[in-house]
Amino acid sequence: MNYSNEQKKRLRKYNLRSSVIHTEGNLIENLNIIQKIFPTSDLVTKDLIIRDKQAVICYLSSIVDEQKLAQFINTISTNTEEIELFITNNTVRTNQILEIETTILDGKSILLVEGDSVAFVYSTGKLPQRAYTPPSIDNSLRGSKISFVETDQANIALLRRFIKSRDFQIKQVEIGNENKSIVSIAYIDGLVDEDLLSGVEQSISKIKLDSVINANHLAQLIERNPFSPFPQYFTTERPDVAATTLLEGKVVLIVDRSSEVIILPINFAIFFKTIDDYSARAMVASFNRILRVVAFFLTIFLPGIYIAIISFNYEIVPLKLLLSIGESRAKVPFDPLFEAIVMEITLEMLREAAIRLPAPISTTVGIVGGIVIGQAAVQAGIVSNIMVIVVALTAISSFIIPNYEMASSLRVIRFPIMIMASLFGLIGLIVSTMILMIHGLSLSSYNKPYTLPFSPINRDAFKDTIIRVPLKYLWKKQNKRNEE
Amino acid sequence: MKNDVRRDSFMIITKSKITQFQFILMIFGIQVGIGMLSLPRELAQKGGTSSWIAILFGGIISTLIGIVFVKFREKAPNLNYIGFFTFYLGKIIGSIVVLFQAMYFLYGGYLALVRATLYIQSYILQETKTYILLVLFLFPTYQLISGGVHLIAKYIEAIFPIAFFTLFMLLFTLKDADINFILPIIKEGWMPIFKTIPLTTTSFLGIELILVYYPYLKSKEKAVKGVIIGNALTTFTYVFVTIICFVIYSPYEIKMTFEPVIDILSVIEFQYVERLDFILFSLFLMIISKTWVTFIWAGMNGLSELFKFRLLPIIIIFLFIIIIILTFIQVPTFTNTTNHLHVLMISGLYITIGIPILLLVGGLIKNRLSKVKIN
Repeated sequence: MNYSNEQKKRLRKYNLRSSVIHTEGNLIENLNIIQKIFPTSDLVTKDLIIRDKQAVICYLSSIVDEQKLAQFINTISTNTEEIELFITNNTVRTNQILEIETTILDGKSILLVEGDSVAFVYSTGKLPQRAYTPPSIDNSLRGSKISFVETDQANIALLRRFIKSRDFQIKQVEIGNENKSIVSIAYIDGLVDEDLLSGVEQSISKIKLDSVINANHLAQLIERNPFSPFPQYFTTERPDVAATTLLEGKVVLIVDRSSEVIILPINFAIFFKTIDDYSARAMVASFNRILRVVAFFLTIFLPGIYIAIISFNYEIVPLKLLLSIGESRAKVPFDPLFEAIVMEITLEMLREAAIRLPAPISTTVGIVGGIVIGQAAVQAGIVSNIMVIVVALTAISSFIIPNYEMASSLRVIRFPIMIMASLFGLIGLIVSTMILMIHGLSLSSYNKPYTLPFSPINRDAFKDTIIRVPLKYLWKKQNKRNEE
Repeated sequence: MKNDVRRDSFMIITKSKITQFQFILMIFGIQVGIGMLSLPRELAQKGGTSSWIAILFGGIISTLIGIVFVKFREKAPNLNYIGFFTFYLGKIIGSIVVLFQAMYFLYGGYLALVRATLYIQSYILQETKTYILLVLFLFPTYQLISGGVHLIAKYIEAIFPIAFFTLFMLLFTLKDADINFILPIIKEGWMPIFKTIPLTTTSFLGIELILVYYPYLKSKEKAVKGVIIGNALTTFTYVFVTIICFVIYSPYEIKMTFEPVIDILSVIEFQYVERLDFILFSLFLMIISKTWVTFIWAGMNGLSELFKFRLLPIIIIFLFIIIIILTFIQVPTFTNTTNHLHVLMISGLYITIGIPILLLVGGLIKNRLSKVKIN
């Protein structure tokens, strides 16, 4: 049998010469091996006697189901003929040390019998797992009320619940050298692009880290352009969203121990869609989409536009409005940029503070922020009324954007744009728009352009971006295909 | 034999993803630029208010030249720029032609950039120094040039709605229009109109870039159609803008107005946005940007193919440093850039008309030589 370098290194690390357990089945030798691999104190070795033979059962006490184990020990302790049959039918045999290591780590028990050159593996695993709960980040009004959990098998089960088809297939790959984690690449055969699948596999296989704990870590690791302000991956905790994207021919990555799944490839528009858009009727859904587009522009540009207008291009504003702005700014001693940055940063602090606080305290933070800072700062003449309105409007706009990652990125982009606006006015805004736009156009996600429906212009994709046409027309092609 | 092209892989373009729509917009984008701003005045000065008809003729000429370019290109569809000229003219003459063209493109790009900076500086940001604005504009330029022709194509496609919006806003100026200014349509006979044709033809300069674009096209068989639609779009835009200027300014007034297309924007006023021209003119920066970016890219592309280097970031930055130094050597003003633009237009005319002739002669000689060889 061939061993990879990594396996050899591992065996050397455990100070073991052989890769298999003792060929004669010397119990003491074997026990020694296992204790060498697991010097931890939650390793339990229990001496047993099975049909007059000495035996030992080893497991990690923290991750086995005590009940299952007790049952197993009970059964094999009875001195009947069927024991051997029971053991053969219920256990897996192996003599590979590295395999034994992983099975113990999976929560299985190892039965070693004196004189037997193989170890019997019995599943007694009880890895901690929580029940399915409603989604906590990706809330929706009318979507399904269930979200992914931290166990990959449970997540795959959820997806299988949504897609009952043999074409729904899964490829499992392992990442992490020390701490292996299983990544399941889910796709629908026939719908998925082969190049995409191999591309995803390739980029995952390039990761040579010791461990990857979370789906969001993995997503960042396989991102093409990590310096870009725009996220190039989409994570969701909603199985209905994942299933829908799978049916569009995309790939879903399920990372064990993570309650979010990664969707690839993506384009810019996906960050502005929610599952509720499809539950609502076309008119309402389209209205919401347009609202989000407006919110997108307000989030990025509103403070910048305010600064540009106040400090450079006040000719644009009608005289009456200009007068009222001037009146509210009359008491403020700072320039607009400073004023805007102070307020924006205050707001960001409030937001960041409220996230991790327990619910009762976070409402207090809201009150303190809203009343004290908003009201008092204006009365003290530190900021103008208009600025408070601008900042509040920007904040609300940024919360409208459904994807958390995208909304956070946009909030950060706002600051350089504010600086550009204070330096060059409207032209600064236009140039920063150009820079952002060109950057967005240069991005791609697995050979799919990032700005797909807009450039290159794609009429079909337009039906489901800024507006959402009635489902009857959106899925017309599908309907036609199945009629034939 | 000298005229044979060594078809090494360096000369063949394999990545061709420019869609038909992008191609049309690229033709439109390269033609409509800073020239449009003063076009109505120049037309009025030369041929009176009926001279807009000359634009139609200019458009037809430009379309024909474009089609001729496509036809030449069809013989060597996948060769890059230098490869194409080597194919027709041989290594030495081909290289010289490419060198001259690259210089011409860079010159054009530089002028468009400097001129745009001047406009922005004089109309919107009077207090900012010209070279600071220039440096500012070089940032997106850097992104686009290092992204290559495909990124430029996407960019032009993405900003088309803005171009459309700006043109659409011009319609709001029409409330002060007087249709009598352009009636009767032909005032002083056809002669002044014909005299204006050379001038209008220069407004369509940029068509020579078809030779550069062609190998990157996804559907090359539809290129002729693209040339026709693109030129039609440009012609329409010019006619639209010119007529609007002619009906708003009186025939005497228009000759005095330096940049009628900018001036006309200040007529627009809404209840909530006074001076919409500021916003429109800022947006116009995006529309002009595609002209200078494409020209500079085409020039750098020609040079890089000629001297066989890759467009590494350091080279683009080096070019930008040269551009900035140039603005210090001759501080750009409206007067000297106008003179330069004049030189550019004349050399552009020579290039656009000269190249097809050169290619034709080159092709004939090549045919003759190869015949001799076969017999």
